[in-house]
Amino acid sequence: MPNPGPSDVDQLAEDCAQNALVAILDRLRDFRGDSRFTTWAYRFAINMALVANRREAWKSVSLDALLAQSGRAWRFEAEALGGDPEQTARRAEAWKVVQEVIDTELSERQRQALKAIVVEEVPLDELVRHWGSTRNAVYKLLHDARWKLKTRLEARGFTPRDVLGLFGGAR
Amino acid sequence: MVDPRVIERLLRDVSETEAEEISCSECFDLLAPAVELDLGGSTSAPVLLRLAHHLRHCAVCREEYEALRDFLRSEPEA
Repeated sequence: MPNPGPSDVDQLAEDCAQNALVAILDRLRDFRGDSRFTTWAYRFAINMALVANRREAWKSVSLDALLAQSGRAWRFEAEALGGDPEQTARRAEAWKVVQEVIDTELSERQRQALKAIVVEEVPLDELVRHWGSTRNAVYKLLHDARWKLKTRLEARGFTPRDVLGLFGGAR
Repeated sequence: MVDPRVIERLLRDVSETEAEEISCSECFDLLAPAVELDLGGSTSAPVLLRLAHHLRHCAVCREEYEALRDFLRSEPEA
């Protein structure tokens, strides 16, 4: 939490504890005994606390403004990563595929999710909250976008190893 | 212009993407046994391997896994 007062922390802790207790009681029948009960229960408290902390840290950020212009988020110069002319040319070619997929094959939501989470490092929870969605749905959105990028790159002759070799080791 | 480190992060994630990946809910369900196995030294247990890929690609789940692990590690009885 940015600059919390003692009472803010106490209130947040109390809210999280109550929410965690409700979640534990609600999901009690799901405990299968494949861990200690306390470990199983603690994860609810940790989840609540971290979600609340992220909310506090990002509450003054306008995600609407941040998500705008998602399509223009990906300007990149292949020369920026150095290397010989042949490597730079191949990198530019691969990046052209990436840009093409982002611009023409991903949905607007996928473009926004990539920009928010990958470029702006918005916590996934915050995007979930902003969209009134679920973690699973947003994770799937991103997974499908990554999969599309991977398969299109492979179709154009760029294996995962090629891609890591061309773009890895950025400073 | 995008920071080259962002590009590296994106393309590393893309390169490691698998056709089927577990969801955040499935990850949450596996957290407790996985953390206990991790703390017990069973780092190659199947459940941990299954989780590892998701945790590499989901920062919020990874943060919760590490927080639970660090919390249990600090418990006197752990």
